[in-house]
Amino acid sequence: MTTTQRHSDGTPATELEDCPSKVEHDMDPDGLLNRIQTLQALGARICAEVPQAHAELGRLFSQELEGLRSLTDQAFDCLQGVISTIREQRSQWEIRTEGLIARMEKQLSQVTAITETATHQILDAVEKLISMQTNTSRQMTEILSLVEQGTEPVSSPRLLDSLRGLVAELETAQSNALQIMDYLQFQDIAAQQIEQAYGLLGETEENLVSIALTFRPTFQLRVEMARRQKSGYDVNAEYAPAEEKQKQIDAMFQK
Amino acid sequence: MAPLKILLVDDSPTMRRILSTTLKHLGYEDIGQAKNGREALSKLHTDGYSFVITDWNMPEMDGLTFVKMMKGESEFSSIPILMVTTRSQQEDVLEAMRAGVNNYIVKPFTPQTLKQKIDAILGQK
Repeated sequence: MTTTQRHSDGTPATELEDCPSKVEHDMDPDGLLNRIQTLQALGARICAEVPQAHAELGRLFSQELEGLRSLTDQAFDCLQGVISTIREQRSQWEIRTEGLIARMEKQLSQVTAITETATHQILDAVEKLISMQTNTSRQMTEILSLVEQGTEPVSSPRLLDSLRGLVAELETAQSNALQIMDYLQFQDIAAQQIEQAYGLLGETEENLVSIALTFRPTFQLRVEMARRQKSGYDVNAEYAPAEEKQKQIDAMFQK
Repeated sequence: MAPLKILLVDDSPTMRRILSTTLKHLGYEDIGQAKNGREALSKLHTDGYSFVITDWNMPEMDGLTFVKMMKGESEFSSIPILMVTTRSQQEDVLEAMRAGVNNYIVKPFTPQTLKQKIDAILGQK
């Protein structure tokens, strides 16, 4: 009859705890005792060696950890240096960039404004000149007409020639004054070239902002260009005589 | 024949003034001005014009779009259009012709060229 092995408190022994009693039945007591003694000795040796092994492992871990910590510290120092450099360069770059774009924008605006003002001042003068020449020419033509018709008593052929010469000269002067209009068109063409420069600056600004955003996502470049109304311009606008181009275009319209 | 009522369309105040002064010298006194195609369309509706001189590159609405829109409205489709622009590429000129431009001047132009083109357009009518 088999009986269930129990602990002193009455709880049943486990399967493993049960094992020696089974072995006991298969071996003679002396052999078993030897076996137990050998196991005890082995256990004692293991017990003696475990703390040493533990200590050895700890020492190795400790050394490795120390090395790792040193490397981490070095990496951290290096990163801090890099971050510090980036911060410093970024702030300098921001100052330079903001100043640069603002200055360029201001200068270009000034060029357009100055040339426009100057052109309109010249136009004022040209318009006055044309007006004066038109009035004088009309008066001279009237005088000439009266003299030629004989309404007014002027018989000197030299005087008549002088009057005719004056009228012709006035007409030439008027034509010359109008020619200035051709030259003043440079302002519109230069303004278009400046608009093109604005366009390029705008692209530069976008690129700078995208670079800045990689450094700091909240970065905002203070420039007025983005808010500036984009104007129309011809990328090929140039101030050059257009006679040849005009001839080619005329030929296209005549076909 | 009724005197021409000309609408000048150019974003450059300088060009508007040069054109206006030259046209006055050529004897055209009734001249209106617009800064871009959108404003020009509005002025065509409110003021009525019999001739249009327009630039190509302008903000808001460029000259080519303006010409196309103008030609698309039956009441304005017969108004002659002279384009005055810096654009001189062959494809640009062809595009302007297809859109309905009657003649084309490259900047910088002379008063004589302006007169010739206006006369040529009026002679076509």
